[in-house]
Amino acid sequence: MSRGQVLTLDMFLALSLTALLLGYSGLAMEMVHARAREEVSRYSLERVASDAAEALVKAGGVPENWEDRPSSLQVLGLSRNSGLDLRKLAVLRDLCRSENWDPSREEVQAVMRLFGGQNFELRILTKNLLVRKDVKGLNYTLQTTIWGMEVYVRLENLGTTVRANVKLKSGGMERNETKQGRTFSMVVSLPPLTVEVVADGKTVGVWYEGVIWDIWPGWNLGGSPGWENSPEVAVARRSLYLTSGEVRNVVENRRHYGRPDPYTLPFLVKPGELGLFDWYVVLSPSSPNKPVTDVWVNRSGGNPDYHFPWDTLLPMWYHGQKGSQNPLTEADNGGNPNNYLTLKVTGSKWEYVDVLVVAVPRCSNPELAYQADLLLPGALEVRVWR
Amino acid sequence: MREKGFLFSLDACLAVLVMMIALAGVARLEPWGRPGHGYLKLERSAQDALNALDGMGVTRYVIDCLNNKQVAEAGRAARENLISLLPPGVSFRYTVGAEDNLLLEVYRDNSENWRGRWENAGERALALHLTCEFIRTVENLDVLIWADDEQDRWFASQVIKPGWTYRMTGEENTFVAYLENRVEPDWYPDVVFLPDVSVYWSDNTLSTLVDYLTWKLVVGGREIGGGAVAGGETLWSNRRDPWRRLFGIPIWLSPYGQLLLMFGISPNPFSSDPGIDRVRGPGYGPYGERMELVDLTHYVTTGLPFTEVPYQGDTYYQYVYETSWVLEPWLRTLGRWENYENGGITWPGLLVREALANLGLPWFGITLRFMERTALFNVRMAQSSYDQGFDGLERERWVELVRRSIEWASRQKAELQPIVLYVWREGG
Repeated sequence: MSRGQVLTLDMFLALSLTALLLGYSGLAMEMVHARAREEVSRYSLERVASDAAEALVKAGGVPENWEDRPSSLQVLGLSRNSGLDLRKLAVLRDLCRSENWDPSREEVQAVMRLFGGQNFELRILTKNLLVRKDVKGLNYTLQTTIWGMEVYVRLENLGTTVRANVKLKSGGMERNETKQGRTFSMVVSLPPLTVEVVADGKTVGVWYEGVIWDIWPGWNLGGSPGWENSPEVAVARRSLYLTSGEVRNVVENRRHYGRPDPYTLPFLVKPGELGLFDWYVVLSPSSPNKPVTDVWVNRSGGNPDYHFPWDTLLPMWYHGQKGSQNPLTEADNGGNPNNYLTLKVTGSKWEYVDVLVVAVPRCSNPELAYQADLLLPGALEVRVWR
Repeated sequence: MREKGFLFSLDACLAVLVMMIALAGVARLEPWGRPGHGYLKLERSAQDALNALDGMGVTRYVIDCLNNKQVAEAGRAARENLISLLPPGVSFRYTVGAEDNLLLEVYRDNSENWRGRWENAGERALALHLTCEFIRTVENLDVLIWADDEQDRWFASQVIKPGWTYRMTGEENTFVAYLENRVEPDWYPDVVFLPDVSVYWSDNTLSTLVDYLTWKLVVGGREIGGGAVAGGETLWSNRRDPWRRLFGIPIWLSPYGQLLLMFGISPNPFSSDPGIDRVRGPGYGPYGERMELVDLTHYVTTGLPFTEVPYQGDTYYQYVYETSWVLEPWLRTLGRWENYENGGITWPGLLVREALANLGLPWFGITLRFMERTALFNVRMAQSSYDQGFDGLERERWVELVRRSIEWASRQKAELQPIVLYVWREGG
């Protein structure tokens, strides 16, 4: 009996331990599997973001000129000469508008293939130096507007330290931060703008980074892409250079000599481009208010469409709507210019104005038109989620 | 038995405990460590940034600045654009040139202990580019210039680059004294530049120049002799020795003949014909003749953004040479005129000659060269370039060719330089 009891107790203990061991090992296996699944899932999401970013910045897509016939798109790519092709971007942006985003369309499926579905966001950013100052004798104030946002920067040398104050204000929202020290970095952000102040002991640099374009399926409806509540989000960022607009034609050094001769500046709007781009006349005058410049669009008489210095940014075509008395046309003219501006410059012969015809992707910030003739350092950011 | 059973249970408990700890350890282990993932991201960032710098023209600008000795401006351009291009939180070190001879070194900030920060960084990477343009590393190029009129002086001022030191004279005694190192003991020319010598030099001047070109000896940093770059007028203005021609005495025995040989001219060392002539005017071709660069593999012509060099040959002479067949192995014709043919062969417009012998004893710091490098343009460069009717862009092409020739003849030539971008994340 005694033997039997002991045996029973031993057996009970052994069985308990075995059960515990088996249970625990099962649990451990489950944990390992769960972690592996998570990791694989996470890694594959990162891989999707990374591969998509690689394809977008390194290739022009298949076919190479898909932007001319978007329905032919098989593989998405946004690159041209190792920079960002603005026309491809404009077409992609148009494709992602809510009214155009139809997953049954071939070109939309090609976009979805690249991003592994519809859960993606593509952001184009640019970062530029606003000002860099020597610490020695630093006493500097900057008040300006960047992309419609009021920016105030105050830099002061307090002897052994530097104090920086940055205020951003836009649409009733405000951010205000101050930092003091010998070496520091301070970031102040109010979407879509981020201002960074870096003091390295010898100089203080102020940089601004802004999101120029933010694209996701249905981006034009506003709101957010929807990744905020997702448990898994992956981001890939690639550096590149870009232009914020396309300069279609330009005339430099228009002046008033003997009499204000009208000048005709022809330019081409290709078929389909009125739906893809906003069109602006950008004036780059020698003085803030001079010379007086009248601009007519597709006509040469009557009341001018724009009068500088009253108008500083001249939208000829904005959000798919005309902005001048005579609208722009995209009618085929055998590849020749199909629109023109008439310019009349009045004032001193020492004053001059450069006039540019600029296209920026539809519904972009109008201020981008001012920078269209510059190559900007920037980045492309791909975000995907589950 | 009870104890045995008890002990057995205790053993089993311990064993199970150990196993559970092991299992827990396994469960907590990172199943897929991905070493190198961060590195790949950083490497891509670095490569993207260098590509973008190229695409934006910043690399070109940095090189131009370095060539003009504007190191601070080059650093500013590189730093500001790299900060714009690289992701936040990524530090960098951007260098141009070999590590033991850096032409430019830029950090994200004014940090001086970058090496420590690089070594302590958690993730780090580097990207490397070889410059597609030459960077002139000429730090101590000394040029002796013969300028005997306003055109020469003006042209020389266009050719001389920051970082070069030069002495300019149009007076024979001074010229000879510089060649013999009798003026400034610490200054001796690496190369002699003779745009358009319009003066009839004495035999002594010719001999001194020939001596300078014949032997180049470097002993422990001290130098004797050097190379030369000349325009066609230089050789033409000093034609002489009519009696030699008259009596058929080989002209190469005279200082003038030897000078011709130094530039690779003379059809035959035993001939009395100097092998040089000059032409100009409409009869020799259409208005606005052009020299075509026919060999783009030489240092003087590599990587130039042009292959045609216009010349106002209607107004100014072009000089016709017959090259020496004896020196043929050391001669290269880099440019030819397109307006005239002689027996199916167009005139050489730009000739360069390599040294005939180059002996070195590096252990003793000794180098000996026989007939040091020369370059010859068969035009009146200075006069033509000075002309107001000459387009600025075309003038710039002559200036660029001459600069390259001077660098090549001085052996202080520019080289392809590596551009390296080190990136790392701060904070480990």
